[in-house]
Amino acid sequence: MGPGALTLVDIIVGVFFSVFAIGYSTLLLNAARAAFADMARARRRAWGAAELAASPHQPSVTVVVPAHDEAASIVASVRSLLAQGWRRLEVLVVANGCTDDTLGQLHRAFDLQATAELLERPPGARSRVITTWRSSADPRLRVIETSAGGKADATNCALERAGGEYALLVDADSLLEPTAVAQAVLPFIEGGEQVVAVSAAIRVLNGSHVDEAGRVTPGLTRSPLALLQCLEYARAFHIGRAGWAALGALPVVSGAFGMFRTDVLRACGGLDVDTVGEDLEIVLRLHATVRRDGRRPEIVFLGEALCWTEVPEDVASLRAQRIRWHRGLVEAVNRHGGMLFSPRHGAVGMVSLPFLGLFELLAPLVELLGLAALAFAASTGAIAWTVVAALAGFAVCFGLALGMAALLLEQIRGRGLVTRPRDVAVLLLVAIVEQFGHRQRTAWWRLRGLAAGLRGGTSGTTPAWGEMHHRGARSVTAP
Amino acid sequence: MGQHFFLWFAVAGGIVAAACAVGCAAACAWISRAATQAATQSAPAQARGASVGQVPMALVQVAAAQHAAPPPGSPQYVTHAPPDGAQPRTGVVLDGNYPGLGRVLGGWMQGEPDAIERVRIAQDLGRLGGADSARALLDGVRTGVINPTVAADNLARGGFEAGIAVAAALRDPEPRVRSLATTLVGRCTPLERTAPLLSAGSPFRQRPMPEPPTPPGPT
Repeated sequence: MGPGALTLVDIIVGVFFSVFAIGYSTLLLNAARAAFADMARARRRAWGAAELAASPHQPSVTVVVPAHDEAASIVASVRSLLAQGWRRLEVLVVANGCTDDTLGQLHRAFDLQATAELLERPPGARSRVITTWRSSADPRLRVIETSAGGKADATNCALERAGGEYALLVDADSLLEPTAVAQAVLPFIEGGEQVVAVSAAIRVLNGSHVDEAGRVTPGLTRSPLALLQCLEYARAFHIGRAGWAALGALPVVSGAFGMFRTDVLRACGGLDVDTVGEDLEIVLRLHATVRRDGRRPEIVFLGEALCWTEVPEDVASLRAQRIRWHRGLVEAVNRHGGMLFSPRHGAVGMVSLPFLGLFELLAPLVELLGLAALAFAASTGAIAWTVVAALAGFAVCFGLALGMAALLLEQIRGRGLVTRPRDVAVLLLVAIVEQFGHRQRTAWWRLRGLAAGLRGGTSGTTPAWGEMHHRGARSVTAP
Repeated sequence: MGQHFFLWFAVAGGIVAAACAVGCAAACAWISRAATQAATQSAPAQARGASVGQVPMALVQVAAAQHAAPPPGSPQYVTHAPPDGAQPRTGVVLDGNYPGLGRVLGGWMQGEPDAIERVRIAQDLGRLGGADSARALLDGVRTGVINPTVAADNLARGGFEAGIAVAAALRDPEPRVRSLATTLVGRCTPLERTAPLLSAGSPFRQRPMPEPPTPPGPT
């Protein structure tokens, strides 16, 4: 590589990271603005989630829980769903190709009885319904046993049978706050018909105490890997998602907790069974479908953490998850490339999707390439080591500032990650340590996801479930 | 020259970022300390510090509602007609001496861009409880400015005249209004059985949902 080529690489990397830094700073400012606006809004409200939960005219909600080998956490998760303060509720658990004791656990905990329901599924479905069950302990709970077909297919199976006006899609290892359904329905009630989906912040469950009824007392995990993910989640939700939502350009609703209008979800054809990033893909398709009808969809982000999820504490599970996420991003951008820079698709087409498609997608490649180029330039004397050190210091401090700002925003919203002043010191240390090794390791995994996405494309093969070694909600309890 | 620029840019940017990080961390620690102190104090004290730490969300909502709503038992009487263009902000209004107030509030509700204010106006219309108010609420559902759930909650508080307006809405050409009226009327008559038929295709469908189990009584 000659000096000219090296300069070109440096310029590309410099421009890329400048745009990245400006982009994230903009998101941070918008997220902060949204947090304070939400607080002011909550103070003005005279009719809120509590009134809605008590109303006899409340709309019906179907909670969809696709599950695959979730024996460790399914019972606690379903209990937390049934404990919601919402009368017009049904919970549909789809046990999709389970090979462990998931069904047995549900049978024992909720006394399931087989029901006589139609087992047919529409053409194109990847799995078939084997049996349907209803709990005699709580008739709001229905369980559908299907053959293996993937998470998106399991969700679609439940959507075919959902009776609620709103569908809440949650992961089988998620635990919900007792008022989560009411708080998620409220934006639909206040916002009118243009609100098609509601997303919410998600908190890491690891390290928290979960009682028998599924109530969570927050606590900081002792697992280093989970601690790193606590910061990543705080950044992703309280800066990324909140910032995009404030700009009216939220491109994704988390698969762990997302409420949709059921009719709109059905009009979109349900979730795409050919991708591993079905949560991102459905939101982009939703934007495209609703705008095709001449309407402007609104996706609301709730900064309050309404959902708790268990994150992997072993490297293998984390690696598989990150590769899958990035592959999903590649597939979604590939599928909806026509929305890129399309004014017809509003802020999503003009801002968030280009940012995802050009920067988030290529970020691992440019990050690793930039590191290699800097090291090479310094070793050949093209750049002084002091400059390299200063740039590295800037990158560390910028990452640190984003992490701490995310924690502060979460804390302002209430029920934050930090429960004791000592936790701040721990997380500050984690934010520093994260920059040396973990960031680069994650970039490598995402690069592998990028390669897998480009290689495999959207081949149409049945996407596998994300494999993760669960410890189970109650065993996540802090010692 | 170029290297000098990068050096100074990185150093200055790094110092600013580090200062921001330390400031945010200090604010986090302060908030968590305040929350810990609030947790050891009384419930009203917890509600005052509701935006921080581990205070339960329900308590925050109750506190926020108490803060926003007028104190119970002290309605704000309207002693003269509000000027054109003025927006009702809060409070209970009485329409006994002001026929047509429901129509005025309905017009405001149609033009109000803020969703929270629209809900507040709907609440005032529900408190008025007359025929005009009921029609204004039904119009709100027809034009989509308020959700059927909000309208239903407030229509159900109305009096006899509001009931007549709801009964007339059973023949409304707009499916949303018809289904809302059907649901309200059907709650206490045999029409309940026909409600799902009338509300087919409407976004406000009161489908029968299974009831939660009732806790066993004392033996």
